[in-house]
Amino acid sequence: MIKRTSALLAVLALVCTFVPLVGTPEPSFAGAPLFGRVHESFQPEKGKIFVLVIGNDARFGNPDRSLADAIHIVGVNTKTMKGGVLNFPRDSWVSIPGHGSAKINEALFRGGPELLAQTLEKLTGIQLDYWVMTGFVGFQEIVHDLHGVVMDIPQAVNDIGASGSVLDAGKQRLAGYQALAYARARKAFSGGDIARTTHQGDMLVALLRKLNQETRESPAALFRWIAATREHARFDIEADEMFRLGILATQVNAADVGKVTVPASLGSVGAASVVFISPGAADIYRRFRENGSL
Amino acid sequence: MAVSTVLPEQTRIWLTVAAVVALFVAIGAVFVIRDLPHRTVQPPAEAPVVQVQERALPQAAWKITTFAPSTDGKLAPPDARAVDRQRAPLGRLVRRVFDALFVHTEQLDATIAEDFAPAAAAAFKRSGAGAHVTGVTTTTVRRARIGIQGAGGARSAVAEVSIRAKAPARGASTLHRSTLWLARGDTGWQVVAFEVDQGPLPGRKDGRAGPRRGHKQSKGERR
Repeated sequence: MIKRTSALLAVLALVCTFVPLVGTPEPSFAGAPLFGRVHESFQPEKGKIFVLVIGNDARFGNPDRSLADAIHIVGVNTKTMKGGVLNFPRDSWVSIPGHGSAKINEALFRGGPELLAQTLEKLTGIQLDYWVMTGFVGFQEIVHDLHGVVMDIPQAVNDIGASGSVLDAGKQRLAGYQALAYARARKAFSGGDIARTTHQGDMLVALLRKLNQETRESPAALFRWIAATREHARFDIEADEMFRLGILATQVNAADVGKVTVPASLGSVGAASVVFISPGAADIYRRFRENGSL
Repeated sequence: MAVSTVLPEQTRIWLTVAAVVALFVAIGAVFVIRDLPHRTVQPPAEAPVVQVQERALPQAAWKITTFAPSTDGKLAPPDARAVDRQRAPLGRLVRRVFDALFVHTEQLDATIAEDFAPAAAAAFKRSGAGAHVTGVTTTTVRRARIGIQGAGGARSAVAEVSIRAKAPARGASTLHRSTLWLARGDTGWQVVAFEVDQGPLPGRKDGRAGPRRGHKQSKGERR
C-alpha cells in the first residue's frame, strides 16, 4: 500500500516536473504559408469600376474640340479581380444625346468627354465612373516615358502612306512613335476601323501586362506610371483616387482581362462610311455591366 | 405630583424657530451641493505608456532605404524637398508596424488602428500576418525599401518589407515579405493597401537559409 502510494506520488511528481519543461504547444509561429492582399479599400458600391479611355486626334489647340480616335471602356470587377476592355470603332453610328445620330467620335467634338461618356452610357447601359483622355502627342510621350511596350503583332503592317506604321509580325517592343502609328493604322487592314480599335484594345492590355511585370519587380514603378499619365493625359480622377486605382491595376492580371470589339459591320450613311453596331452587342453590354469583366 | 409635559412657551418658540432655520439651511445646502462641480476622474491625456520589457535576445538593426522613382531619374527641387521630409516619418511607421508584428506584439492592435486605414486594418488583421505569440523571445532581421512618389507633394509611397524572424526556443522561423501601399492625409501616413506573403523560412539541406529574392534596381531610383 505504502509502496503503491509512493509510486503514484513519484509518477505525479515526475509529471509535474516534466510537463512544464516541455510546455504546451504554442500557437503556430511559423504557421502555414500566408498570402494576402487587400483591395477592399477600393470596393465601389457595386463591386465594379468602369473607366472610359479616350484617344483624341488633337495635335494642337483644344483637345475637347477634337474627334475621338480611340474609344474603349475598361471595366474591373473588384471582387473577382477580372476585367475587360470593350472596344468601339470610332465610326460607329450612334445616337448622341441632344444631337441626334452621328458617328460616335463626334460626341467628343460636340460636348467633350462628358458628352462622349453620356453617349456610351445611353448606348450600353453601363454607368461610367471615370474618364481618361490623351491625344497623339500625349500617348506617344506616355509610351516613351514608360520605355516602350511589348506587343505581339499578329500580321505584318505596312501603312507607310497613312499612319506611317511599318512593323513585322511577331513579338516586339514598340517605341512611342511606333505604338502611336500602330494604334492609328486602319488602311492596311481589311477590317479597317474595326481592326484598328481591336489593336488599340490589345495595346491597352499589353500596357497592363507591362505594369504587372514592372510592379512585380518593384512596386514603386507604379509611381512612374502615375507620373507619366498625369503629365500627358487629362482625367477626372482625384490624385488619391488615381493612386488607389493604380494599386488596383497592379493587382489585376492581364491574363484575366478579356478584350471584345463590339460586333459591327461596315456601311455608309450618305457619303460617309460608317460602322453599324450589331444588335447582338446588347448581350455583350449586359454581360459587361453585370460582371464588370469580359 | 404630576409632571408637566408641556414645554414652556419660550422654549417652544425657540424650537420652532430652530426647526424652520434648519429647514431653510437644508434646502439651501441641497442647491449648493447640486451646483458644485462633480468630481470625475479625468482620463489621462495620453494612453498610458506600455512598459515593454525589452526582449532578452538582441535585435539586428533595421535596414531601411528610401528612394523616389521618377520617369527620368530627376526630381524638381520642390518635389525633392517634399520627399526628403517624408523619409523619416515613413521609416518610423514601417518600424512601428513590423516591430509590433514580430517583437512587441502587445502593441499590435493599437499600431494597426493608428497606422492603417480602416478597411486595410480589418483586412490586415484577417491576413494572419505576424508572430501571433507573446512571451516568445524572437530575433528578427528586418529590411525595408520605401519608394516615395515625388510628384504631387510626396503623398503616396510604397514599402517593400522583408522580415526573417526566429524563435530559437521553439525552433521556429518565419520569412515575411509584404508590400504596403501608403497614402498621406491630414493626419499623416496610413496604409491603404497591402500584399503579404509569410511562411516558414526556407531551409537548405546544408542548414543554411534559402536564397533571398533579389532586387533589381529600376531606372529612376534615387536614394
